[in-house]
Amino acid sequence: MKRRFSRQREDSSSSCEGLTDAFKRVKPTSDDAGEPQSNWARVPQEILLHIFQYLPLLDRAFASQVCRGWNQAFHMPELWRCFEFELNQPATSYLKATHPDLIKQIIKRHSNHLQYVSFKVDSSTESAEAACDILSQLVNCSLKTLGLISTARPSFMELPKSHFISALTVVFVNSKSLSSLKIDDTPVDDPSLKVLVANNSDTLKLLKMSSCPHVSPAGILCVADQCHGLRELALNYHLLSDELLLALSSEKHVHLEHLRIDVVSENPGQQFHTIKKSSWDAMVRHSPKFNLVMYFFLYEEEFGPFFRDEIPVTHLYFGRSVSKEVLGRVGMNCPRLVELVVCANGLRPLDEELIRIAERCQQLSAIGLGECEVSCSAFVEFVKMCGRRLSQLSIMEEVLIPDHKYSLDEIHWEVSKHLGRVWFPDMMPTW
Amino acid sequence: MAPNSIHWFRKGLRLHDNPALQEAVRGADTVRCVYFLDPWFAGSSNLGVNRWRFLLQCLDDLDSNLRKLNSRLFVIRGQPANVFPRLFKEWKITRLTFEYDSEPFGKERDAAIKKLAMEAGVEVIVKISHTLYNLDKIIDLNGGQPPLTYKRFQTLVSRMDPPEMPVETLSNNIMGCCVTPVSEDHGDKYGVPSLEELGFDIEGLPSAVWPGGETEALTRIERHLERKAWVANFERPRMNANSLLASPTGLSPYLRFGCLSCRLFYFKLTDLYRKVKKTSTPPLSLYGQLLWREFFYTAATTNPRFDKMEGNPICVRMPWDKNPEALAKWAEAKTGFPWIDAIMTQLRQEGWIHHLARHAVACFLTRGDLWISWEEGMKVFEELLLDADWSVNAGSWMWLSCSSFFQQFFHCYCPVGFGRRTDPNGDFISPLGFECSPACARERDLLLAYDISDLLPGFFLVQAGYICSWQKDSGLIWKSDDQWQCEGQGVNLNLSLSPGFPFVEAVGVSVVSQHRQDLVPCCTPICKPCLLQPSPCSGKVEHLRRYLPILRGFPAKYIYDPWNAPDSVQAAAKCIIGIHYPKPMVNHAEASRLNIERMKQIYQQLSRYRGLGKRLHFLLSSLGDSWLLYLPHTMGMEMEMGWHTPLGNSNPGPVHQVKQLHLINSSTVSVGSVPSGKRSGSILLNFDSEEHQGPSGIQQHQQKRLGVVITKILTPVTALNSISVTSHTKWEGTNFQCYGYILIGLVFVPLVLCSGTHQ
Repeated sequence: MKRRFSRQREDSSSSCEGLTDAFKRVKPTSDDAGEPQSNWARVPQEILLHIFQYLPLLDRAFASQVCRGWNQAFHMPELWRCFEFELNQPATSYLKATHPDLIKQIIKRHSNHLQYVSFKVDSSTESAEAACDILSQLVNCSLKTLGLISTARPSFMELPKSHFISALTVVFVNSKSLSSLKIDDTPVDDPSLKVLVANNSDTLKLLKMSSCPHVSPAGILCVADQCHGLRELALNYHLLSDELLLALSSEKHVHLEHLRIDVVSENPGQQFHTIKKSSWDAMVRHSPKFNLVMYFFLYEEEFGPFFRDEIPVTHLYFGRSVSKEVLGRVGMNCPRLVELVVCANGLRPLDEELIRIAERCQQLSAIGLGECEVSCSAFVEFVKMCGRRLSQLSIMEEVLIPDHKYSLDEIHWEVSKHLGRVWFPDMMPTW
Repeated sequence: MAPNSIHWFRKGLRLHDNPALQEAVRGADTVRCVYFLDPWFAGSSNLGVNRWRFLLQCLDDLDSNLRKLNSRLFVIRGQPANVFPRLFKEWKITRLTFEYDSEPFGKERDAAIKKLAMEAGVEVIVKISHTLYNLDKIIDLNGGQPPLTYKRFQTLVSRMDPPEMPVETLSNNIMGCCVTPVSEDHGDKYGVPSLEELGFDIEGLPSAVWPGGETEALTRIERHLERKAWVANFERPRMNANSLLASPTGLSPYLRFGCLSCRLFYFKLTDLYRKVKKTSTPPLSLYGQLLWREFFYTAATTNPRFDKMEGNPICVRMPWDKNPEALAKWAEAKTGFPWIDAIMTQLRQEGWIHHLARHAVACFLTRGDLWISWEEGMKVFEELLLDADWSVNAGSWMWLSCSSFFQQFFHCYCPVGFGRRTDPNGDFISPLGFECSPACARERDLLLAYDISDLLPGFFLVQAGYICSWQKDSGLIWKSDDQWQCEGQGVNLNLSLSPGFPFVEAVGVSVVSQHRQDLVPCCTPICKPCLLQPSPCSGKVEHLRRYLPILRGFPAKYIYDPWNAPDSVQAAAKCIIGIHYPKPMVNHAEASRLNIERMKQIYQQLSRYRGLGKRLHFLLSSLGDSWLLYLPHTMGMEMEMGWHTPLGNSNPGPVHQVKQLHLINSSTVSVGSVPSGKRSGSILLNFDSEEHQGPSGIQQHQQKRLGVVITKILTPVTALNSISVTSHTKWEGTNFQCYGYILIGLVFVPLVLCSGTHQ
């Protein structure tokens, strides 16, 4: 334990480099110990497994060199179910990559054990390509989860579409029980989703595919129609349709738990379609507890079609400036709202809007305000109305405008009092 | 025999409140004040010309102030370790004094010099005067760890005695019979070098916006306090377009070089507050700027890798992109976002930018848009920013990029909207002409009456001639009465300019408020027409004011996003976007969507387990992502996982078996004791190393590595029977509030949670 403390932990999955280094460090300790080594060699495999699973890969690799028994334990399938491939190039990333030899070894010896696999890929196309190469070699395994994660820029988008699709379909075809798939920012398309549905429709529970421009509303509708176990779904607004919501709320379909919609403007002044209130109502009837999470990255003038009717949104994130008027509509039409983040707003204080939200959104328990303005007394009123259910209250100090009732020093006491815990506004360093 | 002393100047370039310098003089026969400058290093170092100029001006000023005491400054060419032994011998030195340097490499250097001095039989005296407090005491008070939140830091500081009073300024009286032997050729041997001598090309170098030196610093602090006294508002000034510009009351570069003592500033502020408010205890917030600086010094003093991501225990490892071209565009003000480019131009030209402007460009470079490492941005600031101190610079960058100190990351500054809100007219970028020509300024009793009765109530700032106040001898600007310079609220504001003041000669007059867009239309017609004529001879004014003159022709509507201007507007402005000024280098909406997602991913992974993750202190952390639920961490051991429940939901939903709770230490583990009817669970916390029971029930322990995320565990703990390990601290209570640090890819303190049953 002590050793883990004092030593810098290499990232568990990253590499076998430094193996010899660490050996030099470890050896003397085992020498000075001078105890009878008998007990350690005879630790039962199950116990060893239990211990090993808490160790990062590198430590297990060291341990595997101790004796034959430990080496066997190192290769136990249980320890290889989960793996995160980190694919980085020195030119584009500061982080280490999973060592190619380790990748080879995994594909050779453990690919049939893999169940939970993710790929973390930096901004270079080479890395995305390397991920596809590995994917296309995963023929004799059955994955339960697969995540393709771009850690910097969406590098999968840089690949030739056909190359990416063929690698991805290898997994879809060979893994018959995929339950979670995270393929945001990739060139996945309708035909490949069809392959997914054909092979994994019974098991798929989670599908995250925000910003996949090659998928059409019809493509995602096909998934919703066939995968009745789907409980979590993330996609962009342009894929959202009344048909999709109705499909998700059909009788055969399990209750949806989570629906995340990203509303992103590609060019200023874009027109957005509307979703019927009846479709949302059907959703809520079918899955009364589902979370509807919406991220907005729109120009102010593009909000026209939104929040005109009641919408069962639970989590709202406004990534860009949003007008007072839209926030007013939010207060009127979002009765299920739980969490609200407003990154920016104009210069006029949001007083009435917040108070209306406190009044109408009875579930609201978390709020974050960035570049906005609220008068101190309106803010106190808001907190008072929400009371202790506000479990998260993240307000930049600049947001609060002192008025005749409260100064900045007083407000922290007043708000703490209503929240029943100590609260401070978020502060930024002054240089 | 009375000692012969050397006082070694590094920072602390001042004669006031310099305790180490006093020690050098006390009872001494001779004293020599030295400053080491390595000319070889100067040319190759990455400090920009503004920083060198500031330093040389400080040295010049120091030298001239020492002359008044019949002494001189000895600027020594070379490295201290090489030169000191010779000096000790040559000058028969028996005492060496210097100001304590808290930064890790400084401490290392000083230890080496101390050793050298001891070997040469030289007594060494070190005094703390660059910071308000002895930083080691703060760390001790926190159980051996630097505090990692500013709140925590404030709490510690409030428990400490106030800082020591500043010591007297060095004077002839204090010098007594102590003299400085000065040779004939002092100037040649030890004079302050010029920029040319250091190899800088000063051809076309504009005059310094921030003149260096103690004398200037002391003038400024008076001005600063007068202004505060007059406004009688001790809260942080609200941001407006004027705050973006270099202010004659700005102090940060002077604090950085130690031209101004932070203790002097501290006590002057205290006095003023007491005088104005008639109360005896000023709030800590009064000292905000000083305390932030102190906070970063404290965080850095024991961490030699404070300015790095790798190997820095308090820094989250982020998968930043390496992208030299994008970095260069940012550093060279070619991003295509006027707001960002104007700030970077100001930084390069003048060496200072407002702290919110720093936030804007830092956010843009790192987590907001470009996803480039904060270390790269820090290096650019190191080169250009006058007040960039190793600790404060690195600390602020970590802060702004959300790499440490538990910053909220939900909000990114928009490179368009932020500027527009701060300065709706875009005057900062390229002002409309509110300048008066010298001819009209000379008219007697020039009177401007702005009718602002239609305006929203708010804070208005009328400022005249801020640019000329930068010219030598016109530092009067804040000293004059409210005849021509006023700040405050009101429905009618009269502003008269008297030509009696030298600065009016080439002055720009601007009326600025937070509601500038409202102000301009109503004041424009009232202003005397002559004031609105662009000045034909204000070359200097333009140079300073117009950071992006190319955009001058754009109307305010498009000044922050000129690429959205119709072609006709671009043509009329004589600036075609993509030809005369670059197109925006990123699509901000798309970039911020991606980056928010990345941040979320990282912080989610830090929290690692759903039980903790959804209580993570960060908003958004749980927003719609249960991806990690499907990735059992403990390999092979299927974790029983429930479905996602939103944060803030009163019903915590199914609680899963958490096998391991990673909790690092900390300075701020505290127990909230809100009793509830729920079954109480007991928690045994164990840390592998020594524990202290701090005052007020604060659990602390010794551990070198710290994590970075604040977690707030509320409900999960009610579901756990115990967290067990070997220590014997037992906390009862169901509503257990724990601000702990979770790991950062380095070291965990693993606490094994036994059977997590849910009631």
